[in-house]
Amino acid sequence: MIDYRTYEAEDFILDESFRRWALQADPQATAFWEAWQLQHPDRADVVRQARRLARNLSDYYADDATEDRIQQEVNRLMLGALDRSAQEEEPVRPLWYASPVWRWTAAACVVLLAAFGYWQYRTDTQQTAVSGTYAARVEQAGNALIEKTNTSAQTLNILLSDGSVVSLAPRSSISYPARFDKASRTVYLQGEAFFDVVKNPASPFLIYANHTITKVLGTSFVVRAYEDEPDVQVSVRTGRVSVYAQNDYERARQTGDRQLRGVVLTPNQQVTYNIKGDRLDKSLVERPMAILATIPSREQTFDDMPIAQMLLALEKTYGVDLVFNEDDLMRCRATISFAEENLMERLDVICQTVGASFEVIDGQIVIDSKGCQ
Amino acid sequence: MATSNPSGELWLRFKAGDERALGELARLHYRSLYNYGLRLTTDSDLVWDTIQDLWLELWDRRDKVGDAVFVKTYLLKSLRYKLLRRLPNQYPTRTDELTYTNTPSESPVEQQIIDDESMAGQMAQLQRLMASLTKRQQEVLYLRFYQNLENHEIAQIMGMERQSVANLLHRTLKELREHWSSSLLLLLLQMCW
Repeated sequence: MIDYRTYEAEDFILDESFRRWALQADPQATAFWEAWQLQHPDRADVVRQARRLARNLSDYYADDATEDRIQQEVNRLMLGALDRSAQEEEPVRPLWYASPVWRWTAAACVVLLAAFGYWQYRTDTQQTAVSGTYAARVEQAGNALIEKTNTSAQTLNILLSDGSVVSLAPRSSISYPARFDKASRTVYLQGEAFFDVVKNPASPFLIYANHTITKVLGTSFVVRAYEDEPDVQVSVRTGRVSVYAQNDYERARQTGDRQLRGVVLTPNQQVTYNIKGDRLDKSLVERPMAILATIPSREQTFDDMPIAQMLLALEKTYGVDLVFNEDDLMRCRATISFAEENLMERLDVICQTVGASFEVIDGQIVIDSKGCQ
Repeated sequence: MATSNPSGELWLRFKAGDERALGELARLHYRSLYNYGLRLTTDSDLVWDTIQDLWLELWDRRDKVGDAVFVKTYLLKSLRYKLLRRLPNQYPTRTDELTYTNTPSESPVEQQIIDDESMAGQMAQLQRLMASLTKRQQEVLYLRFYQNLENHEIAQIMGMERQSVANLLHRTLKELREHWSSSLLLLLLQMCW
């Protein structure tokens, strides 16, 4: 038993039991300290000083982290950890339901739910029965979206604000914000598109398409969801995506159910969602969907080539506008080869070789260089 | 307040590769870590990022860390190490005697204390008192008061001998007490609470 009679104010504030009473109204500590004060009325002043100091010190050590922020950080961490686990695994696992992939899918869903909880809650309180159609979804998302519709006969390439590239098939539309917010990247698709998504575990990429939601951490794949077709198809070229029936996704969100049914796809796998049957079927990609044929192979080898020429080649491969000083960059040469890297990763590597930087501005990429270094 | 006992079952689940255990563990310690980080630097973005890296590295090495680790002490120590390495101006890691006094020395602390009467003023007083301590004194006091750590745990985190921690803490309290007992405490006594 500690003899508190000899304690001065600073001794008290270093005593854990005392702090629990002074700061947290801990019932056990409160009972003890109230009884103690009654027995030692001569120490009342010291106790009062100490309590005051403890509270001031506690305020002094207060931080600015809200519970929301901490939750956000935990979510970001979980996504980061999942992403790392994903990289450790084999690229394709045919017995997906018996493999560890399935084990972490549940965790992934939890993270997803938590991460988007607030945003989803907002839209949900306004309207409980959410329609799965493109028009309804876009309308619900508000007017801050840019819409692109491909009325031509060729694939249309669109650069998003995070550097992801969407190749939109004919007769298809996509809506997306001019600038993605920090926590998530959400787009709405009607029709078919090939996505080359920039990796960002802190901000998953979500595609709403005809009663399905496809979630991506960074990868390339096709979503086919025409409203006049009975099925939605998602197939993966690189990386990994999760696909959910919109009904399941939203029900799980509302009930807080952690066992969300979803399908994880790895390269050369595809999932077909039958809208009427509300079912997800997974299979290997037998015949690549039409749009894949129109996406040129993105393997590139540059052998002792001027940087400017590399950039021109990238422009062609990805169908995006690059703005740079051609004269400057024609004089610098390098040897680089790319296989699975996405546009942003390629630009990173190229820019690093000459100490340049780049920025996505209004649907084009502006490269700032100071000649060769 | 969570004490620094081994987190037992949760820790074992974490080590076995259970992502949910990682989430729970992180949730449990996140504020402690962030708060501690803010004692070492005012750059809160750097603190958030360093904590992320800390957890992810721990996740990568999960099968190599021990079964019976005092998780909190271990985490705080790792954060301290990581953060101090990333800070541009080195924190004094060896000498206790380096004093970084932020108070203008010409005006006595007591006079300033009497000048301030509001709640905000009280906080300013405390800040001035704290600023008159060395960084190591501040850290020892903080680890004891806010993080509820014992001297031997503080010693581990700061890379000191247990006895040095005890001495430093004693000296710190004595210094604080000199200021407190002279005028701050008198002033506090006069205020009702």
